[in-house]
Amino acid sequence: MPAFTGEILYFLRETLQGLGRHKSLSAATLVSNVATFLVFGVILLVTANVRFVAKQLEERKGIVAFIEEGVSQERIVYLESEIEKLPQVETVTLVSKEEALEGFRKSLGKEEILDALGTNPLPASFEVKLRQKQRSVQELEEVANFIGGLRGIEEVSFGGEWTLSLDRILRTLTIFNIVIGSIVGLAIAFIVANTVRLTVLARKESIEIMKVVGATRRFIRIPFLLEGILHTSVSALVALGMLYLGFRAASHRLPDVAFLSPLLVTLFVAVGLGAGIVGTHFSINEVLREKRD
Amino acid sequence: MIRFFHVTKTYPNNRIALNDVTFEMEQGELLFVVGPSGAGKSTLLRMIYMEEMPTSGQVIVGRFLSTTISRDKIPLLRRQVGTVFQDFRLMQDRTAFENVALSLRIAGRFSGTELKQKVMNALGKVGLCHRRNSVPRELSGGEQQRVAIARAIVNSPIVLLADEPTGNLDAGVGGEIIQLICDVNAGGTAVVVATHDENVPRKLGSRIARIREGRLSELGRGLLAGVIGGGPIGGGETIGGEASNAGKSRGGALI
Repeated sequence: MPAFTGEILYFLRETLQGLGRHKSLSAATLVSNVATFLVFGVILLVTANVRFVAKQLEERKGIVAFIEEGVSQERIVYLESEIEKLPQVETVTLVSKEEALEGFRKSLGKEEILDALGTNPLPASFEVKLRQKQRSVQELEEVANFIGGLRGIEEVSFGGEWTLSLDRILRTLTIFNIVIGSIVGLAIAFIVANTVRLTVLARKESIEIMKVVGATRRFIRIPFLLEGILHTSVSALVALGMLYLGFRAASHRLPDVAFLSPLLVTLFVAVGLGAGIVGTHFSINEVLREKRD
Repeated sequence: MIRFFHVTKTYPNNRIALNDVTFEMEQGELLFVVGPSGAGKSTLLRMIYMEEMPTSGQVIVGRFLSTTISRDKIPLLRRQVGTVFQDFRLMQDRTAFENVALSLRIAGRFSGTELKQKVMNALGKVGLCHRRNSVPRELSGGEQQRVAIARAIVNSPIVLLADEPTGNLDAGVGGEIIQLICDVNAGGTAVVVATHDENVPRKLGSRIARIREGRLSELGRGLLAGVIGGGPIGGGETIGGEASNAGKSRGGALI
């Protein structure tokens, strides 16, 4: 067997044997890393879902303009076209008196009560949805005021305080995501890197021996680096698997939640791998440093 | 082959480990460095495999100079220097065979068959072929030191360094280890042994350098050392002498 192939086989064998020779250390590292990744995963999952719910709520932001009783069909068509002309408006949907009643019936569930009324008291309305980037309170208010000023519109509703609160919540959430996400990401990377560091330092004596018998830094580093990568990627995948199983179990009770997107899964594994590689790199450097005056 | 030229080593706490040491030794020589604990013996040895670098002065080992050697070249030097320690320094999780093979794997020049042959040959020289599959904890102290010697010589080094090689062994086993080291020297490998026990080199009639508080203060040959050495030689002491009985080549010359 050529010496070069022998070296590659040596690195792979060393990596696997390194895990086997230090079973308890490997197990402790794995458990610690899985637990850390799990915490990271839960935080990511909660954050992603809070944002998901917030986005859904934002989708529901809009204006309802009630049409006066007895307005002609021509006037209604004219009003619709006037509202559609506004640059902030994405869609305008006409909800007739009948459709409003039908919707109310469905939401109420007890049709007998409405039947007892005999007449339909609900007005027809326009449901106006603004473009995604033009849904601030100011813009909603501006459009609502314009529509409210049109002849034939009785009343306009746009959520007011509720919209203002949602905006505030969304802004706070975004800042929270960035700040807490960065802190947690760094903390996770630090814990994983430090765990890997301990596995390297536990074998400091072996590294010293290798140095004395003439091992290059590369020769010492590669098996440790491979081991670090293996440790963290297996830990990340195990944590991801556990997170998914936990999510599946909980999703029966929380039907509107979503699992991590492919992008977040990639981020999750990348943070793990990055921490593993950085942790191994620095701890080996610490041990390999030559004393020079 | 090995030259120390006005070498001084001062540690950060201002403790002087070696003080203006100058000496030379040739291929195949056997040199005992004697002195009490903390005198600087280990520092002197560590400078040969360049684990430590001089604060001033220069160390030359083969074609490597301490003043110019780069970090990348130090491993190449160490592959030509075999090292044996008082505490054996074997990898506890590997068999005797794997411990010896490590030097060859690191050198990276050998195929599987060659490697096996060389390891078995080295283990044969120390009489431990039959214990090749034992891990260090299954071996006695003497056997562990034999494995360490096999690891040190398997790559045919130009010099074997032994730092208190009998320090953890009883007298009988220690004697066997010294004999083994002498056998290595008889094969043409230069050997430097650091020991606090002057009786060993005296009995062997080997070249002795005495070190005290970082200064090489005496030189001579075994049985006659006390007569020839006669005390300090002054600043920048130089030790020389004829080749050891065991060694093949001429003794160290004055620089």
